[in-house]
Amino acid sequence: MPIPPPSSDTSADASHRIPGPRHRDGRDVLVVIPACNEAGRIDKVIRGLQSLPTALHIVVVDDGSTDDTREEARALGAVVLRHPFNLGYGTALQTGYIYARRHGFARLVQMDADGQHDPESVPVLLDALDDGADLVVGSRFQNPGGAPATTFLRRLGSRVFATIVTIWTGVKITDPTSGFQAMSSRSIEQVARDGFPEDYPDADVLVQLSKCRLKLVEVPVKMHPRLGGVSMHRGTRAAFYGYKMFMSLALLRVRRRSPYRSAP
Amino acid sequence: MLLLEFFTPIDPLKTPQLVLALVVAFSMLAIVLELVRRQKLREEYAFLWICTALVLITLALSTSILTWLSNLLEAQSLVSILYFGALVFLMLVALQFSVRLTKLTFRGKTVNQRIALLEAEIEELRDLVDDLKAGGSKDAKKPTETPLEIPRSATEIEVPKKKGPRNKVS
Repeated sequence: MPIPPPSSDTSADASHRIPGPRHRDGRDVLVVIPACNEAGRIDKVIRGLQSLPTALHIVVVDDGSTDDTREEARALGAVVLRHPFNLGYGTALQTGYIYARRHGFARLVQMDADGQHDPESVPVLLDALDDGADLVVGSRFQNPGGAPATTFLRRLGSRVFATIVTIWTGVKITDPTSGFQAMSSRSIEQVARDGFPEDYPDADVLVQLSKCRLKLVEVPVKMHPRLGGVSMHRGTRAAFYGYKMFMSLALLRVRRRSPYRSAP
Repeated sequence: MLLLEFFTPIDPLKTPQLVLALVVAFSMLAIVLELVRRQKLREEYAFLWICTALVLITLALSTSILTWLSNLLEAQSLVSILYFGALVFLMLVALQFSVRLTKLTFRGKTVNQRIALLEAEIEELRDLVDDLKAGGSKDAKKPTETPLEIPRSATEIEVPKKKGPRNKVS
């Protein structure tokens, strides 16, 4: 979809314009959507968010897409942060966190671009934040409506990490791999830091944040089977995920702060 | 040298083995130095490569060190110790690269994130400029008026009072 030329009319009718942080009109909730080649799906996600009663500032982190993901998001008025090439899911999320910190957002929701996460559950996450939580994890397994079917191995892996995280944090977590989360500004401050994992940030991040005395909460959310595209956890990558998460969790206690820092 | 007599005798390095080790080590040294000369390899990374070559040369030429090491490790042949010495340094080279890659990955990641954030900011500013050029709206007028006012009022205050003390200080 081609982008309308920016200088075609006056700003009186600016529906096509990208609402940057300066035009955010008091919206204090940022929605971060990492996306890689999600054209045809991301537009539905953004429309779903825009139909909610809460005013949201939507940022799509385009992680090196080669399709029309960026154009679709921009056409719907979302801010697009584009990585020159694919840098990984964790990095894409963190770009969104840095954006949130730079522009002083007090609340952040992160969700997938492939339609798995139902925008209707966003208010549920935000309510939990308002009740004093710093990190809200949306769980597909707590949802009374049930969770979309997955393979046995994935479910098993998810269970194992859920048990570890529950023991370690003292908070009942059933879905540690969920990418449907909400964060307070205190959490944003932590995850926008340099040491944030670049590939698969989930169970280890939950444990790390709870170690920083941030309050974790899990709430039920609605999830759907993906609308298409390819899963991040496909083939041998699932095995790497398992290895990485065990390594990361095992070394969490003795881990030092990342020696690599960037100027703020 | 006296110590050596207590060790069990091992077959000395055979000539072809010695020649091979020296040829490999010296060509490695030559290639590495040439790459540094052409600035295709940084001195920093050349260091461990040069060490590898030097270890290989030292072990190959000095029978006493090699024999001593072989006895220490109860090795069956001198050649295995010779190449083991080189292997240890090659492992260090590989490790150095892995560590450096981690650092470069971090830097590459951070640079790319900044680019993404800057691009979005530029787009936003561009839209703002387009609005200003189009004019007419309230948003467009405010920023152009304020910068004109500030310098005028600032000079009015500065001229009469601040001349005296400023000269003394400088």
